[in-house]
Amino acid sequence: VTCADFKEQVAAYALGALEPDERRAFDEHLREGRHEGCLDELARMEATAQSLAESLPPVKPGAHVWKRIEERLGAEGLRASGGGGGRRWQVLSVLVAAAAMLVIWLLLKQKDELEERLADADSQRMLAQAEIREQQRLANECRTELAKAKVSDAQKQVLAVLERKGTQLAQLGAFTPDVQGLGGNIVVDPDRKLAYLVGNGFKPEPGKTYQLWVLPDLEHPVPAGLVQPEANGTAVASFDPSVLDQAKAFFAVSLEADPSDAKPEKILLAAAAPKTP
Amino acid sequence: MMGYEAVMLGFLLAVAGTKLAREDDAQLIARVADRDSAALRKLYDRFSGRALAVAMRILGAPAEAEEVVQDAFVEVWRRAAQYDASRGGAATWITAIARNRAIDRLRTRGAQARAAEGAEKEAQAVGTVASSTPLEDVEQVQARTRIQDALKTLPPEQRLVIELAYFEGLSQSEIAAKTGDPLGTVKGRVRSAMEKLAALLHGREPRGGL
Repeated sequence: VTCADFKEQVAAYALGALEPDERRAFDEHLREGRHEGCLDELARMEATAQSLAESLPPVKPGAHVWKRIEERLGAEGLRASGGGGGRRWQVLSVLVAAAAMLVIWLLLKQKDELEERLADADSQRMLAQAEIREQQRLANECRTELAKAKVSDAQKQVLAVLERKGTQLAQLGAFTPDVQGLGGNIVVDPDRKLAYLVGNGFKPEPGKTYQLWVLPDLEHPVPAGLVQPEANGTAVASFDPSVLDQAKAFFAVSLEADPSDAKPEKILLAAAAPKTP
Repeated sequence: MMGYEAVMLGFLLAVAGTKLAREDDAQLIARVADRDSAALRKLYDRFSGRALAVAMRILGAPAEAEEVVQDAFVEVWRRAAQYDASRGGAATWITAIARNRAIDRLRTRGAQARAAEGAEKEAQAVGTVASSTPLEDVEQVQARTRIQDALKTLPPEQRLVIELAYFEGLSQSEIAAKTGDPLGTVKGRVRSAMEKLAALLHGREPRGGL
């Protein structure tokens, strides 16, 4: 098998669609030292094959599945340290040595803890920076969407809010697989006198309306107003920002046949609470 | 409004979950290799949902698919020391184990005929399944939608060959025998379909084909 042969059939190899003898020959080729892009192509095709698995919605196994796995591990004598096995320090016979080991262990533990805290702090800093970059991206995206559309008074207000320091943003993401081209952002001004949903891709359906919800918890969705799309599919809806005062509020946009209903009928988009860029 | 509370619970759990720092998958596998069952449990929490989805797609029977998930995670426990991160991520490795186990069972029970009968229907089903679960967060739904959209752009005959290969474990010659197409045509379709998918999902232009 040459590198050219391998690359010709790498897609079938990644899918597991080669004949057994072909597969053995290809496995042997992969063990060779030099390649002309074979490994890169293989990684690309294996990632593509994996996407077939990722096209399926995950299904949560029943609780008995994990229980059975634990039973099987136990039955094979493979009970582990994390499972609360019966390993114990046997130090009674060498007390002095054990004391010395304990001191060393404490010192190492302290060192590990310090390193862990440093790593945590570093990780938190990187997360914060990534969050700032994401919020800045959202703000730019929002400006671009508004600039593309015919600018209404409400849109002008949102543009003004976006320019203010401390403006909070959250991106609305698709909540169901059938939402295509529909998106939006939640924008809250710094002193919280105004809050907006800025959306695009809305296509009015006869007899149905889009509705914005704030969800402080599961049981008490708060309707935050209807979303009236314009002819070009864009929508700007303002709502009372006082609903945001409820801790851990989330947002959702639903499609409703009856807007007076107390709960969302079909959620299309969802977002976490807005943050400051 | 059916299932509203469950759906929202899933969303809230998912949002909360993304805020927690995730331990690296490869580190978890290394811990499993050191016989740490708590690490295995974390891998199970992360990947059992996808493993079960693949097994159910292949076998069609939920109870049998759950047995496959059991087998797969016991195998992860036994083979963790052999995991090579340079050959792919933990998700790919664990999914491949579950898929191989499911394909083995499918062959054992001689159910390929059953699967082939449903191939067309199953092909249509990809992209229309809407049973969102608490395991997913918004990002996962978006990623899945993107993959489903990419699959829909493939010609039906190309999509069929890669689904017969991946979800039914058929070799190219078995696909040719089943569809009645020449082996060369099947090979071309497999290559073209995977190139197009790769280009759509990971960039780079396809090389063209059938």
